[in-house]
Amino acid sequence: MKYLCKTRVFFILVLTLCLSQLTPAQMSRHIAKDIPPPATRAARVQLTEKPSLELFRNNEAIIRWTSNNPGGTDEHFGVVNYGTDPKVLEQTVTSHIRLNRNHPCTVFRVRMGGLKPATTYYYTVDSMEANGKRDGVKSKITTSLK
Amino acid sequence: MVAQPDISYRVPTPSKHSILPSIPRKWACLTRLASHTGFRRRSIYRCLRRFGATPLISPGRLTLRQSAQLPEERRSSARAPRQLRYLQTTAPKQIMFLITGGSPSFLERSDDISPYTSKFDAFLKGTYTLTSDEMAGYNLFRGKANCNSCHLDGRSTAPTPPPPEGTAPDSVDTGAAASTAPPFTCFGYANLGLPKNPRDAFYYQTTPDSLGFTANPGGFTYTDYGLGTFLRSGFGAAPNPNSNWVQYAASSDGKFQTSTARNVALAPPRCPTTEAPGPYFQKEFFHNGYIKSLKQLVHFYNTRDVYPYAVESGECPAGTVEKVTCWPAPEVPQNQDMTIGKLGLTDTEEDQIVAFLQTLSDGYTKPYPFINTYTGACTTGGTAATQGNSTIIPASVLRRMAALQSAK
Repeated sequence: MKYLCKTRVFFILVLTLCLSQLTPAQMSRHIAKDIPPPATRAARVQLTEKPSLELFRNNEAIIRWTSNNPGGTDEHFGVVNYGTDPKVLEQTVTSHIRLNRNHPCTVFRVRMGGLKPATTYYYTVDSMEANGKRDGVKSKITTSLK
Repeated sequence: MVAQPDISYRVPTPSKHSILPSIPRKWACLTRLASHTGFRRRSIYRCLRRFGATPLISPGRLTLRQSAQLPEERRSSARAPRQLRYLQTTAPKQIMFLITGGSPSFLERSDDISPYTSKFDAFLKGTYTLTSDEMAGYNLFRGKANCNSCHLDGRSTAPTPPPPEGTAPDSVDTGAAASTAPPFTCFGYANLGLPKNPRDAFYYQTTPDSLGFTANPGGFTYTDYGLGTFLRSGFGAAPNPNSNWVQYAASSDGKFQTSTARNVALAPPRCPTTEAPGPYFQKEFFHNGYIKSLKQLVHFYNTRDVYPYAVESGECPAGTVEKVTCWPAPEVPQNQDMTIGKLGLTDTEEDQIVAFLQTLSDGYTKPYPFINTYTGACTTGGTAATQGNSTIIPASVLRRMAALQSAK
């Protein structure tokens, strides 16, 4: 019984020690916000700057365009459908970006690799949410990329 | 020392484990435990569980089996020995749980680690006025450079749209603060396309050490796939606890968690900056320490896709300068984040962003008590743009040296 008392005193001492480490003055008053739900999707996503070739080097190209902020999930992807036949854009490449909710416009840049030299490519652009839902950008002009 | 200031400001999101709203109740629970005559294990488990962290002891053993035994325990004449046995065995483990699991969480949330005492925090409270360069850097951070898409600054950055939607000039912050304590991270993951750092000691730890442990048997063949490595339970990673996540490994290759931008420029007063010519405190940035200064860091974001070269570090073409007009190939080329890479910032604008980042160092309104204890030497000379370049040895040479070392 005596041992029990000693052990219990030890237990209380340890708890007191732990509690002393947790004084209110050391408690941060700040708590991270919960991850906010996806932003409201824009009613219509339109290009504000037409797609253009930002970089072409070796077998790699970067296509760049700007649209109004599409909203939805912050994690977003630029999508380029391309091919050598303007009627059949059978290949798709996506690149990740993160939306800035407070910016009215969003710059999309998509990296395309494995391009063949001296070949003309045609492409259209779109964007999509992290869940794969397309924003429905109407990229009317199919631009050649050589 | 790799500057990964991600221990502080790592308050969890979502905040369901937040202890702050119910501190008095939890303290009361601990107080009751200390004075309780029965020392019920289930109560102790529940109490300690409130402090958040993975318990060291299986909850099933404590909640189901033990709770079923409790009524009998109370009636048992052999109660005291059981309590004694409990105090000798389980209680210390629970205390260790509190110390090893709970306390670090408290520490991370505490004002000692996440004090919010920077110039920027003072600015948010209206007690500090940013200099013109700092303010310009802040506007770039949340505007043209778009840094706050990931390093969330907690404020509305809405540059009012041009007419006809809006009338105010661009880059005017017209919104209210969304958070007075922004974490400067979104807690998300991204592959920034950082080159491999062949000067990382890890690549040379290919033979057993004195304890027989070989840190990196693969040497230079090792590629750090970051989140992808974890999801496929790859080399050096803790086991992925959910096999369903393996399908996301390929799309997560090369991704690392976004660190907070807070304290990225923190340096001891005796070497008050991270930037050459100094006297400066040499830090290393990003997950592998390839970047040596904030100037280089901002320049990388700004020009990664302007000066890409299919080379390794130390082997940039003649006429180019590594980290200035040449960025070696990314360690993991797939899944690169394209939010950055060509921001169109001028040299002055890069410097202004660095000036803003330096306002995020804690200790301005409440100095760290032991900030002056650093007794090491400072580094001087050179420029921030090429900081550390003098020690660059071509990756191919390093590889040969490592092979020779292994052959010995």
